[in-house]
Amino acid sequence: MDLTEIKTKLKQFIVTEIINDPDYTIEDEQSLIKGGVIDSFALAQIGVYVEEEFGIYIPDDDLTVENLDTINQMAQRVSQG
Amino acid sequence: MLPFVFSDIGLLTSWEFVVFVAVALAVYYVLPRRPQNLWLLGLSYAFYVAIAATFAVVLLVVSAANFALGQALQLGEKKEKRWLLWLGIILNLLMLLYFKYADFYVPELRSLLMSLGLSADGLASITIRIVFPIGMSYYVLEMISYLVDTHRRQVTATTNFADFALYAAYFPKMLSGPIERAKTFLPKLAEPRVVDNQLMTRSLMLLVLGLVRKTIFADLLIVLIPPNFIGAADAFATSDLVLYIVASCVFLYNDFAGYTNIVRGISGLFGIELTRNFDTPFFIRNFTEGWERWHISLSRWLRDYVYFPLSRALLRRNPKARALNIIAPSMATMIISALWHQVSLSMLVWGSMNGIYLLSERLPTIRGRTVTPLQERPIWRQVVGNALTLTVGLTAFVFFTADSIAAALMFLGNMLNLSMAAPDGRILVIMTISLVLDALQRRWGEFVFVQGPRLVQASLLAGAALILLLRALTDLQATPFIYQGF
Repeated sequence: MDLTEIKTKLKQFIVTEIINDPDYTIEDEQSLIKGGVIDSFALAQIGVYVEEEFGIYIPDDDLTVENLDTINQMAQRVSQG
Repeated sequence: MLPFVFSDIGLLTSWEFVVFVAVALAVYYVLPRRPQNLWLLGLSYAFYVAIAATFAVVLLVVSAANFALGQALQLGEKKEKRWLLWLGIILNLLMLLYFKYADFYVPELRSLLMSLGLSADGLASITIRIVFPIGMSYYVLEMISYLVDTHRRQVTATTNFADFALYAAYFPKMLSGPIERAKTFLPKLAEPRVVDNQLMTRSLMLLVLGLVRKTIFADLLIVLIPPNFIGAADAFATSDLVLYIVASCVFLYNDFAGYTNIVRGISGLFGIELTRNFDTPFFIRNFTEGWERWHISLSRWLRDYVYFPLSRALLRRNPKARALNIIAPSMATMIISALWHQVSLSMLVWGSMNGIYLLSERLPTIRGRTVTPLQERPIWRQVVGNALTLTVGLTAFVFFTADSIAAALMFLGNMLNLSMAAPDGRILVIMTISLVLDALQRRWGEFVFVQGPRLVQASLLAGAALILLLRALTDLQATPFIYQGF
């Protein structure tokens, strides 16, 4: 799966499952947690989604604002496996 | 009453501690790197022995047991590892339960034995003998995180016992944290440490700011706030009760943030940077943000080792049970946070209230409603959010501070009298200055005071030094740090 597809899926999940606004537009470099779009508790949901959708386990310790604040960072982390 | 035992050296603002750090630094800088770690280890144990030798023995036993468990987790087979991990977690928790909660369980056990018609005489002496080792609440959490991270392969178990023992005992953080992770702390012990101008400046800023927060703001506030204003709430006007409860929270913040700044500053002088514990917590716009800005090292520990594992396990098991998946982890995390602080019903109420506050912010998600991102809300909503969060947060804080639920409820009942009195201007001035410092850090970052022109920096340093000198010349007593009691 290429990065663009991973990003699209991640954005889709966040706008529909976390902020419940399918019309909301997320930019690749937008700061999601520091910018207050989602809170750090939502990282647990993202962690499980990534596990089920992409088969990648991100350890709890890696679910941090520093590692996963933007769609680009999340997609990079997923593509690393 | 929370259990305290220490000599003056355990009080970080005492002259004994200043001399201790000065000698420690002087020798540290002339030593080669490897002996530096041994020097720090020796110092840390000397520091702990000076407080109470038995505490040092307990720490050594805990360190040795966890070091051995870490080795076993690193080398063991997959099946063994699971029970080894649980064994380690249970042993650490039992240690904490045995020492920390003796005041709670011994009387209960005594009444149980007596109700069964058995003699409980022996238990009376046990209560006297069990003294809670200062710092244990913090280093036990570090030990658990080390074992879990080793099991998750996030950390390679160290084979160097001296480094591991230093991780547990490092004197700047031993008494009240910050709660460090082995993953970030142990590599700092293995690498060469350089104290350059930048680190020196940042560390000195933290040290000075910490001393101002602790010895000026916190020590003055604690003198100005009536000691039993919650228990004797009916003797005060409503406006005074509001002022005192807000001032108590500002006191606690300056006391703990002051302590953290001091130890981070000292540690920085040794070339070891410690985690930040507070990030302008009075400027929060909701509870979720508050959770991320108050006692950060504990919040992150609870998030990584309680909230995330529980939340992920529930989500995997039944992704559709939205309400349960959101309610259970938040409530469990906040109740564990309360129990970590102290076993008492009023503390449990404090934890539950915070859990409910966190949940209330997630209600729209449970109901499938749109959540406007925090930064994108209009300014008026952010300001109202801040005022509301602080108001309900302080209501919960009454239970945190009160000796009992009854006292807290009586206090809150007295708030309804709506009587007014002239406020103590001195309290207002101290709180205002404290908040202005926070506002500057919020706007321009934690190290704002060392970022401006040299002249401004020098003036600030001179001003702070003068204030601290004047403070040292007063006969105002230095008070122990509150969080050393947890």
